[in-house]
Amino acid sequence: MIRPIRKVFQSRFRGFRIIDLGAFGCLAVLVLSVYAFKANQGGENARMEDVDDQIASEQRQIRILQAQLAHLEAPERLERLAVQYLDMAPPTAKHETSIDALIDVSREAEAAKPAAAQPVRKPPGSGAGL
Amino acid sequence: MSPIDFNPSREPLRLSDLWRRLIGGMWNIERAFEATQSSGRAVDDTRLRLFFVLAMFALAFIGLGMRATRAALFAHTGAEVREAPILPSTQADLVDRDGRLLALDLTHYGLYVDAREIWDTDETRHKLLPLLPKLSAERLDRALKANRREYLLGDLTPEDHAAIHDLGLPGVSFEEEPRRVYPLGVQAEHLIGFTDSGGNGLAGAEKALNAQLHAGAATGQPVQLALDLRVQAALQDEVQKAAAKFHTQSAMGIVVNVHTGEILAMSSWPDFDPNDPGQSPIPNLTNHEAASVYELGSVFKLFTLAMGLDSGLVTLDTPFDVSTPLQIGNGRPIHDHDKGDTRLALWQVFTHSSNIGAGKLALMAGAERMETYFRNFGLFNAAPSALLESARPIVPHRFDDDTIAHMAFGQGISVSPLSLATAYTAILNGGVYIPLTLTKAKPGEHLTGRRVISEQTSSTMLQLMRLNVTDPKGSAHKLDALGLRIGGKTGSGQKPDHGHYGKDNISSFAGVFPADGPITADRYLVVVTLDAPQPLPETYGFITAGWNAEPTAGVVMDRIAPFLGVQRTPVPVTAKAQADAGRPEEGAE
Repeated sequence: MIRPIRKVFQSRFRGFRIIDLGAFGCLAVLVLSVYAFKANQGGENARMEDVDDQIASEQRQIRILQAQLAHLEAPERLERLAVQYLDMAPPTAKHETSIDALIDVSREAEAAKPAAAQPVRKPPGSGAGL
Repeated sequence: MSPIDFNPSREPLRLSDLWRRLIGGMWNIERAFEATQSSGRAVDDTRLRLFFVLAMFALAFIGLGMRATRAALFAHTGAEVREAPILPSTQADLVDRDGRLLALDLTHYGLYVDAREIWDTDETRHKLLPLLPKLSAERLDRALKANRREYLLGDLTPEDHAAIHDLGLPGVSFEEEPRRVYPLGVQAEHLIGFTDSGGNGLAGAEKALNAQLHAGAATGQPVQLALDLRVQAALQDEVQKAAAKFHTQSAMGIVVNVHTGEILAMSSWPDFDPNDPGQSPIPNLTNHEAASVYELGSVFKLFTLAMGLDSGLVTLDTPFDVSTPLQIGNGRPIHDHDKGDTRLALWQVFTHSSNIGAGKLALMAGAERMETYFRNFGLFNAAPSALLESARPIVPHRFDDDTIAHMAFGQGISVSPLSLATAYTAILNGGVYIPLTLTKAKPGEHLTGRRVISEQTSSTMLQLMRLNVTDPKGSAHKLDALGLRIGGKTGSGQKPDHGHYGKDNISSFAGVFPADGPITADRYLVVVTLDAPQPLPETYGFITAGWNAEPTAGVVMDRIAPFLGVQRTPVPVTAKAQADAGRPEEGAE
């Protein structure tokens, strides 16, 4: 038990005791590993912050897009565009019927003999709406 | 040689043995120096001191290393907030009943300039000014000469921010500022309201639900209104058209679910842009539907008749002599519009909108009964809505015969259209007075209220409303919304002008649809009010509600019925059926 310990303390390499060199080596490794670990952690933190910034930026962009979408899909705006560019008009009560009344619609259509089905057009001077 | 008797075979190993072994080990290490001695005691001492110093340093570094490792591995990294960073906002989103966005916080930016960090002030000046039209050159110059960081301009949009950021100017920095944005602009702006720059509600739902919106900001949960944006668009469009067509001073409308009390749409004209309310004149900011009071005229007859029927004072067939004006003391005589009537049953008093008949019914009821019922209908208080704009009515100081006779047809008492809608809701929903609500009701939610009339009376009033549309002599007979089974009542109150009634009217129409079916069936109330509509050639010079408010409400109901799921009664299409369709229905359902 004592002899190996004594040997460790007695051994020398180029005038330096092995135990001293070993301790110095351990110290150097410890310092370097701590430095490397901290540097790596700093890099990871920076990357996480970058990702956070990116997420926040994307969220801001999503919010802006949501606001733009809400504006573009506003019923009043769609209605105005439909009237302006598609010449659409709200359906009237006559455009709604029941299954039982379809035969009457058919007879009416036969009697009128229209050349072709016409899309619903906005009557001149009528109100806007869908 | 150890001075300690060291025997490793001794069993069991105890703490004292361990200590002896440790001491023995230390002694041997020390003796190791002794064993390696080459010359003299001084060298031994030096080596011992060097070893001791080395050991101390090693211990210190090991301690520091462990601490650094612990800090690196277990220090708080804030990972839990990184997983889903929440953007800074002061208020939750406001959405309609279907989740459509009405108001939200967007990140805007405040611009700061620190002259101490600027290399070239001329460059900064020349590059910034063209991008910031709202910024005066003097203000920028002052900031560039200051010896500190100065706030230059706020409320920059993300686009402005990106444009300035891309300039790469030193000394120019930004700070985020949440700002309330209303993407729909002038849609439902009076109902939604607006906030100050600190995110505190100043009007509309923003003010009424301020606490709820602030609480929701932390969780990111939106606050849902009862508003239906499609219904709102139709109502607002028609109200604005009516305002333009009849050159009104103001115009307003509301759509209510009579069973839940949900306000599905509310419109007030003139309007304003809630994104920049400061640019609009003060009258435009007023929600006339809730914050203005008017003498609304004959729409009050519903209350008078409900009182008479509910108290058992009269029946639908009780006759009233309307052949001569009603004169009470020295008060103003009460006239009817000349329809050649001499004697009317109670139901005709309603459909012919007879002021004399309503006045006589009020006299039969007496002041006390009249006051009790009108108070129960909420007509003597501000409408109990979450809207803080809800205005208090102007009510008579004393209830003498002349006063109650005029109140019976809506003169001498001024209420907001919101109060009127709340009272109508009570009469049409089975007789329970409930506050109208801005927020969406939960499915199956039963609102508590107070009963003001019996369910039977409520049902009768619904039939009277329907009869007023189907009867050829009904005051709402011109209503042209086929198949929706509309019931309604017109009201044309003369507008006070310098202490007496002037030539202008407040025209109102309160319509309910569908008016048929059981009392618990889904049913919606539409009230349209026009302030001082002007006569047109197509109205033959008339300014009464039947010529302006009623057709406006009719178009509104026609447009919103599909959104509310109200099925039309099929319209016949044959020539005979078309002719039949033009013929009004007979009697009440």
